[in-house]
Amino acid sequence: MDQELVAAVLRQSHALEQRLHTVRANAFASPRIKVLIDATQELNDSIRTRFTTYDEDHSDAGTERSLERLWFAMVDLRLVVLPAIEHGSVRGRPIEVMLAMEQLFKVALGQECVALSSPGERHEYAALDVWRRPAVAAEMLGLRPRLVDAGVRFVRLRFSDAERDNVFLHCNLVHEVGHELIKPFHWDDVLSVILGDEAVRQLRSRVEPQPAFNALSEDAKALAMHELLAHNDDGYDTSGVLLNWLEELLADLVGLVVLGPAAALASAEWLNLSTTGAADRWSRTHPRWSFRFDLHREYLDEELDGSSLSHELENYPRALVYLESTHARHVAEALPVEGHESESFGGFSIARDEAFFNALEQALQNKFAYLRSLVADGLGRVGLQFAPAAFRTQVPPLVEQLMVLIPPSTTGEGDAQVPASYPAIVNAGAMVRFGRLDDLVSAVPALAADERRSRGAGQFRAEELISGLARKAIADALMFERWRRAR
Amino acid sequence: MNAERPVPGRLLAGERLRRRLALPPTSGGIKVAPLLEPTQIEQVTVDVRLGTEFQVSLHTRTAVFDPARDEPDVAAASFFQRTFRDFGESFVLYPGSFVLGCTFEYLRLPLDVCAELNGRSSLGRAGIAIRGFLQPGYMGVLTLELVNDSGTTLVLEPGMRVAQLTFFEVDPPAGAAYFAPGAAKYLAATGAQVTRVAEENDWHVLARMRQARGGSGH
Repeated sequence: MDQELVAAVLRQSHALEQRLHTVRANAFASPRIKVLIDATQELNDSIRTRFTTYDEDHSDAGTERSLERLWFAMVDLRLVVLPAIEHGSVRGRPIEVMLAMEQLFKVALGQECVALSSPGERHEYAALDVWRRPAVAAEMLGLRPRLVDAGVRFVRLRFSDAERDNVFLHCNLVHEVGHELIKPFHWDDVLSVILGDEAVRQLRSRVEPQPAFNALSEDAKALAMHELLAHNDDGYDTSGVLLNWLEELLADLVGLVVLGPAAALASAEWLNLSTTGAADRWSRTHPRWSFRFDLHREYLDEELDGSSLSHELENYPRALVYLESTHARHVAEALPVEGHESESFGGFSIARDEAFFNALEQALQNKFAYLRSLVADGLGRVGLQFAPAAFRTQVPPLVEQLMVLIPPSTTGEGDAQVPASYPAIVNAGAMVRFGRLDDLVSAVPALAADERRSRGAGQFRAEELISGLARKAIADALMFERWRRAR
Repeated sequence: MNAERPVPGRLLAGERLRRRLALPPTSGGIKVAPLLEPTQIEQVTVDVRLGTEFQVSLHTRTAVFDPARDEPDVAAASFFQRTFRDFGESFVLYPGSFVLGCTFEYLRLPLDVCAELNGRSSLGRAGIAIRGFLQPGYMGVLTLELVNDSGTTLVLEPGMRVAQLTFFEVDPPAGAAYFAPGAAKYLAATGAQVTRVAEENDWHVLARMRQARGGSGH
């Protein structure tokens, strides 16, 4: 048996142990995160015990396959779970945004969720499920599924540390949450290789949570794929690219349906800040941004039609200036090396035919209405749709609160006060930020003075104030609601 | 302004206080929000709660904070580390340690009202004294300078009532007041703010006096 593997796992386990001590010291005040820490500790102890008592002839861990399982679990703990519970999740947590995301998950899945923040150096947003990894590992080791029993899911949300206070950019997280909601858990191929298909099937039945929402059920996905592929008769096996693009567009739609205009503005803002220069290119995983904005525009045109707020989105196209000024057609950021096209795409080559992309875009564009109804129905069922009506009634009074520098946390007066919703708050902030910033700068003497002293300085400070007030309002509204429930 | 004519220095109490709290901010109202319980409004005070953001004072390699010489903004912030606690979580304050907290409530004062902030006596008896004064027109959450003067480690919980506000009328109303140019270092703060004393206008005068003495002043 591979003694090096045993030694490597024990080293990993020891390092994990040391880091868990630090995590525990920092996080002891957070009982919810402690559940995940305890589960990780238990898994680590179990793995170490089995390796320490390893005996090739007698132990139940004494087969190559068993050790591989343990190794697999160890790697998961180190790479997926540990980063989620280290200091970022406790110390650098933008509490209001994480609470809003937890609320979103709770409504969508019908299950409590803890959002672990993961601020990073890169200008990117992501949502990673860290619940199922240790849950799977516990099952593999035959431990009581503590995480499943706890009834709390854990999701790690990654965002730019530099923009950690920018509540409008954090709206991009809803797109990422959308991925988690519409995409079934990806059971790694390697797990099947190690355990076998039957074992994975059994694991799945025990560990898979029972989400109340799945906008993209397997049937719906198959139907969408079938209909879309019918538009492409060029003979390529395009399903991999199509599926990726489809999931991106659906995640965009989750953002739009849940948040309305703020989601579109957030992605535009992200693009404005992005310096990669590759944002308008096709890739295997993502459609072009300008194409995605077609979807956004179509949705918003319908949503804001006749709304007095629609003029406040006039600045929205400024985000597109950058896109439209670049070459209209770039080809994927990762062109395959000639002669080494990826097998996983069925021999499909991105470089081979630009016409394919146009055909695919055309096919998807024809399906925008269908995709919108698919997502809107799914989200509407669980009460997550920020309908045009809600946008029109809830947002204007909150805009007025922001204009006098008050956190827009409630609507109504006196006893009739109700906490404002997260979508209403971020949309009110976005409306002021994109539509009425000049008015605000003129109205507040300190901001006007800043602007006179240095052009743009007053506007910059006003943007920060609006973001701060919106952030405060999100926290206030959520705490208000939680307080009332706990009374 | 819809509020009754202010009486200089008069403490706002009872029905008069409640009326002011009910008026919209644009009509002379005092905004203290969110108030999680109506009982926070008492006869002459409004209770405020501990918020979720903290700035923890650090011991760093830089030995001295010198507002006269350090770069504004950067210097003070480098001596603190920001952290958050949710409702239901706790913050441990060790004996002798210093941390900046903030109120959960956001306050917006009209131009004819100033306010005084005092820690609750129950907390004072445990070793934490809180005090502050708010100019007319102030808007923002209130930064709380929390020091544990007792010999015992104390546990604080966001959401607990920590201090109370008393309001006084000012006549004539302050002009452009707190949010005027140059007077609004902490304008519309939404979390615990570290000191911005280095931005004050007097430093250039003091710098000339220091130069006249021909030394660093230390």
